[in-house]
Amino acid sequence: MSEPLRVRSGGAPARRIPATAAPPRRVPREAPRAPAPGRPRTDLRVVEAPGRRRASSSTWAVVGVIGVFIVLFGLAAFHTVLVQGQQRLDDIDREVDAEQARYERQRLAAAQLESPARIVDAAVNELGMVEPETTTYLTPSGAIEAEVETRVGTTSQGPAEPPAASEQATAPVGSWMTIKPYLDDGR
Amino acid sequence: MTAIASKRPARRRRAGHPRRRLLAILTVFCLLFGSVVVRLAQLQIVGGERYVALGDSQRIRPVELAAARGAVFDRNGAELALSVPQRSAWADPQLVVDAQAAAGDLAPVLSADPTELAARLGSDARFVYLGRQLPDAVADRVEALELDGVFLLDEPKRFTPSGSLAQSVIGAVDVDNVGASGLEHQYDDVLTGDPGQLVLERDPEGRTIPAGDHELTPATPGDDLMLSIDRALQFEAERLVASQIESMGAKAGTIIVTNPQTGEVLAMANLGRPSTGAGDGEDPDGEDPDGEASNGEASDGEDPDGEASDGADRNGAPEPTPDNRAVTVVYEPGSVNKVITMAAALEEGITTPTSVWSVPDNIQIADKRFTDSHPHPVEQWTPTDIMAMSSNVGTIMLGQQLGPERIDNYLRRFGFGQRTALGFPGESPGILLDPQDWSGTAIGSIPIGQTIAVTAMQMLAAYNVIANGGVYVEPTLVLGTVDENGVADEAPRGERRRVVSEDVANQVRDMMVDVVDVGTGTAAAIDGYQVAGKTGTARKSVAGGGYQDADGNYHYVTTFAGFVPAEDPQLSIIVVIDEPTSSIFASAASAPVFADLARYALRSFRIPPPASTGGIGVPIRGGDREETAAPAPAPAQPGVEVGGPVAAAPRSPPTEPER
Repeated sequence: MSEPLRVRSGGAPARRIPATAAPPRRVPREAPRAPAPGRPRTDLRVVEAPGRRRASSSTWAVVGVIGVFIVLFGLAAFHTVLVQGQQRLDDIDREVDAEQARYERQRLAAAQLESPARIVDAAVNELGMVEPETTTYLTPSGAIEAEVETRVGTTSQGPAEPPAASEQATAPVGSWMTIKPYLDDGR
Repeated sequence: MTAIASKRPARRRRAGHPRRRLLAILTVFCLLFGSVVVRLAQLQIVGGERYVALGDSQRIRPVELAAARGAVFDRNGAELALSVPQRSAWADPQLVVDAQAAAGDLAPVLSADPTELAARLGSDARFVYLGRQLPDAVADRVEALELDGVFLLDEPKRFTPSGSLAQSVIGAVDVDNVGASGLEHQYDDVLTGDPGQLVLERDPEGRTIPAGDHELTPATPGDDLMLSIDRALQFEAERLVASQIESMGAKAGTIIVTNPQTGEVLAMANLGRPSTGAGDGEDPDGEDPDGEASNGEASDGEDPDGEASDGADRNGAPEPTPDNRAVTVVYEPGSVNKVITMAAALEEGITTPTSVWSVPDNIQIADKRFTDSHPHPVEQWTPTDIMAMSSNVGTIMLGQQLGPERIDNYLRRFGFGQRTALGFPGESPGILLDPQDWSGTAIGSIPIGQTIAVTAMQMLAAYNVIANGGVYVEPTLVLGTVDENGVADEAPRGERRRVVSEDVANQVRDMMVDVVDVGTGTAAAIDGYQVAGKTGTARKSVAGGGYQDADGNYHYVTTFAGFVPAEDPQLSIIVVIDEPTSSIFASAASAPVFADLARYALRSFRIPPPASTGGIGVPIRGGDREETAAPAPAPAQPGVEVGGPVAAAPRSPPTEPER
């Protein structure tokens, strides 16, 4: 408050008012009086509220520049993040394509490994397998056939009831248990 | 101070016209600004669209997303053909610094002519291929060269994992993955799918511009094709036919295996010598131009004057033929056609299975004399015997009773003279003359399978009529398609139509069983199963007409067609051997292959002998053979009343043969 206030009065040059000037006093409401002749009327003054001060334009400029800088910096950072994300996306796309191609190639390789020609080649040339000159077909004898019919029923009669466990254990000679004794282990 | 003072007036002179200088500066700036405005207006308004388009063309690069071509599977889901991305080398010649040097580096890697490569690299184009669908090792070497303006891109390449297996059926695609032959061509629309497009904004270094234009139209992959072919059976069929071609010194061979009940083709093998082209050495029309049959052209026995071809062009191991001969090549089938004549005669009531016919060993038709394969006295044969002995004369006698119109009608009802439902590219309808166009000898030649031409597929489909109790079932190679979501779409089944009655079909089937049991087809017998089949040995017509080549040699085609188990047919097989030389007879050239393949297929498909067979060696039919010994009228003299049914055996019911 030590700074003197400048006051303008109707286009007249501002007068400097001493800092020690007494604060304006409230004038009781009275009927307007005509100014005294030859004495100039005191100009109205604008006084600043205590504790408040208007920011100067330079302050606003600085704040604006800083704000713009922050915004630009943010945009740059955002763009960088965006670019990095896009680059990562491109990398992932390439990786997906590569993996897809790898899958296709391995699918082809598996199919090639399963091809009959390769299996025959491996059997003959790597494992030394040979085709038999003759093929022997096993035909169940009449006894076995009759027994099977007895045990499981014929087609025309429909399936027979499964034999009891005791019957299985005492299967006669010529049954599957005779042919394949390892089946007769009580399972 | 004097000197200084003396200079000041000059400054004062310049300072004396600041307004003018300001105006000048203002004018200059205005002009500059104006020019910028004009240029800006020119860029933004007058030529705006052009420059926008130019910018877009530099940044926005639409990328076509190739639709993956569908795979081809066998009936069990095993891949027969599939596409795998392979890298192709390409160049932008505008970016190539030194075309000659680049060509010199690339030529040994790509195994290409450096001069041609240099010409490509030095062209004015912006895109030239240097090598397409390169093996990985080659592509890696190209990439390692790091040549300016040379790039790699992925392109799908078609592979057949099983090599040439079923190659003539599956066909091939061209370098652009467009079906060029076979099923690849026939089902190209299904397999190809719809390409997609990806629109991206990219910077000069090819990186995607974030937040730029990004528009994706995904590609729709082609559907997969599920064939009825069984890969293992196909392999075995090709192996057997290749082996037989080698051992018989033959020119080519064809095997088809079908399920007669459904018409599904389980195997279709076509192999030939490397020099064998489609129709090579054959009359592609399969027709004797003058319609004249030579003497005894269809036989299963020994040909008295038949000489095998000289075995020329028999070098080289058999390999799959580029064309599917099973449906594209027609031939005169010979005696296998007698099944149709017999079925027609039974259906029309011309004869019964037990009627006795007096059959001489020759018969005069117009100006030609037809003979049986072996000289024999006049025999009292039933139609079953005629079939079992594959008597030309007996069959011609039946054909005479039928007449041209009815023979033609039955041939067409059995599927001859028209393409099958396969719709295979290049499929032949065969040759079947209208009855009014028959020559005088046609009534003798056509019933025994000469002067007509069929494909192997047509003949097997006709045999399937007998196997199916008289119902024709259209053959099929494709079970269905599978879309990208794995949803299967079953292919529509072909037409089924009745051709002959079930009784007649069963009677003919029993005759065919006799052919294998005691007739010309014993080599096709399989232990534990009843096989029904028929042999056929036919002379091939040669280019220019007739059956003798320039050296006076005859050429033969042998066929065995049949099905198994005869009681409940699950498999039908036709084996066609083209120009065998070791033996010209179907009983030796084709029937053994039938047996070998049928044994394998029966095991592979786990087809047990029907219970009614009762095990090995128990025939499904019996009795009526002995009945044929019943007294018959006196044999007709040659040339006198040869042909008519002279007696009927009294016992076996003609429509319900004993089993």
